[in-house]
Amino acid sequence: MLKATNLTKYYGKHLALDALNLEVQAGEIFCLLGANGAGKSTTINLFLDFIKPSDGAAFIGGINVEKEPIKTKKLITYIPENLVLYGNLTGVENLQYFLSLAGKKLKSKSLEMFLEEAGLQSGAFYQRVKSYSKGMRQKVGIALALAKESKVLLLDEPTSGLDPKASNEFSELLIKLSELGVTTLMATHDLFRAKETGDRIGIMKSGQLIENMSTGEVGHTDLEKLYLDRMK
Amino acid sequence: MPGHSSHSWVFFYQQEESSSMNLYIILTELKQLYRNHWLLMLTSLIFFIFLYAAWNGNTNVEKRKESITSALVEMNQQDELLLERLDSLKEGHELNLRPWQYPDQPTATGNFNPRVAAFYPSNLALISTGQSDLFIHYVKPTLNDDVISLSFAELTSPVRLLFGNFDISFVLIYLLPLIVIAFCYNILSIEKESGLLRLVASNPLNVQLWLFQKTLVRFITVALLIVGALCISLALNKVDFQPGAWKLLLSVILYTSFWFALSFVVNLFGRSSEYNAITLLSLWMFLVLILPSTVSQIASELYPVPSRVMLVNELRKEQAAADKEQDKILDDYLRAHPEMVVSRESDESTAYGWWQRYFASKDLVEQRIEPLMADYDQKLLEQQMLVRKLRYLSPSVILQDVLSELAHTSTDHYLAYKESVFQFTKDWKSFFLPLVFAEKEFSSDMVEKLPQFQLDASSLESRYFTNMWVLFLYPFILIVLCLVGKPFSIKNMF
Repeated sequence: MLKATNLTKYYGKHLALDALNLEVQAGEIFCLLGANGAGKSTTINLFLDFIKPSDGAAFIGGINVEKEPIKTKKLITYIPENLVLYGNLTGVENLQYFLSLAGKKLKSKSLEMFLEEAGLQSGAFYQRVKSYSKGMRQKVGIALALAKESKVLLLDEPTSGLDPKASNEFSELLIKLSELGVTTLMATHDLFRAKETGDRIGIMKSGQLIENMSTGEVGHTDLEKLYLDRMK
Repeated sequence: MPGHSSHSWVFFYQQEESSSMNLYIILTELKQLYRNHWLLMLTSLIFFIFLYAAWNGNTNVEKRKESITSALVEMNQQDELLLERLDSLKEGHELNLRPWQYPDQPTATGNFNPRVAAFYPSNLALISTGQSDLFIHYVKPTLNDDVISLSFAELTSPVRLLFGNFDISFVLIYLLPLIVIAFCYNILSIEKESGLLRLVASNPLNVQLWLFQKTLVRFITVALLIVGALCISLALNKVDFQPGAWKLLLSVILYTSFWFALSFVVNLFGRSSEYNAITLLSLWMFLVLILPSTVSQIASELYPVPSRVMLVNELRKEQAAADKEQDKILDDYLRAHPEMVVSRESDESTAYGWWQRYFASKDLVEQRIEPLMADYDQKLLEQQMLVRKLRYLSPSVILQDVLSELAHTSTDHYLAYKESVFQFTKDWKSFFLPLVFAEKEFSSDMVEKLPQFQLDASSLESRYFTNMWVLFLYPFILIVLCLVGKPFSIKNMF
């Protein structure tokens, strides 16, 4: 579903992503681990067509992201580290607004259903988003993915700053989406969450994917040891 | 062809998507503006400044009307007194006046009972009083007046005097762009800085179009507020909504659209809020302040108007020279104006007195300084023409031109008034001088025949539609340049 072939990005003379080759199958959750500046966010940005690759190409559902961004964006939902919504709109209104940007329109009942499915308390549906916590906002993001019927989720450190309970709820939602066939590419620093949630883990360093393994292959402790070794 | 039909279907589907998306974006933007206290502040501010500016402008107009009315009342009182005195003289009574003040003397009536040549304010005069309060709005030309044109020497520069009062034109030209800038300078950058733009741009949409829709909503909001505030301000000041007021509204909407288009374009470059604010303020300063004053400066440098002091000195010099050669001047004058020569008996051949000599010398003085006056007027005209051409460089100058035309306070209106006063002064003198030279008395039956002043504005040409086209072209060209130049790329934003 997601594919990067020889994907390279230079910022001036700085090589941010070095010929990345990656493939994520439909329904798979792929977690990208790595230190700051390793190239995780650059990879996500290239799949979002927010930046132009210096070389290589990114594909979503077999479509070249750079050549047909409107088509690929119809397939994805993106949730950044700190999901910002319109503070003066309610959760339902925000959901409807971003759905309308994607060309969809749903009735309030359906929107409420998706928010509920994403785990947001019903009392918050019609509250203005400026009173929402970060966890609540992330749930609106998940509701957006559900309502858009996205095939791909691109997540850039989505659990950063969430409390363990909210983080756990978020992971459960990702697994649920994965069971529905949604492919997830998640950049994270959270080794534990990556091991718990992901199907596969990639470790990045200096723009290169230096490890690509199945989460079943390693335990929590081994993963941490491996990660620290690789970061040396 | 399956491929073809599939492609058409996608195109149609996208069209459907974009039209429904537009409406929802517009409604949501309106909802957000409504829920934002900033909009309430903006509404209060706009209504306050427009109401105050209209009141202020109307105060100036009322002062102008009052001074004209009081001059007319005084004129009517003087006329009543004139008739009383003439009747009294007819009945053979003596008047307690010096001989040269006797109303049957044409020189006395020509000097002490002038008509009021008034420049009445128009229906929309309150919108642009910037020049009118500095200019003369009524004169009373008399027989003795030196050179009436000297009364009009305030007219120095058409642009220098553009902005003075806190009237509606000041609010529209100066403050309205600032309101638009404050409302729109960060319309995209705030989305970028808050992180919302990443979420927006991850959707299948044209971000440039999305931004245009947001700007359009704000433009409609501000335009409606301004139109509302203007209509209420005009209605409260009892302005008749004849076509002039509708023309005013159209010009204001076009001028507002220019500043919105400019804000939209600056936002498209994707810079920070601070950068956008500084850029837009610099453009405001350039277009509203620097460019008009530069145009004025260029006009003054290219066509310098002779000094008024020089004119007065020249007049005095010529007058002094004329005083020394009164008899010769009178002879020359009578040769040039044989109609004034009165048949006299041979012993009365030297009977032409002081007044005849005086008017003959006055005529000569006017003739001699005429080239100077013509030069003065020519330079002013050339300045006007240059400013008129260069006005297209700045929408602010164009709007000022429109507003002063609608308010009848433009330089052209003032020049038409000046020309009418010149003509009237000639008519006034032509009425009395034959009486003076023929040594005839002024009688009460002549009062009704006295020349009356009429403002002749038939030579005025409207520039309204040309100005409207240019005001329309400004935002249009900006938007087209955007579409062609594509300054915006989502890839430059992150």
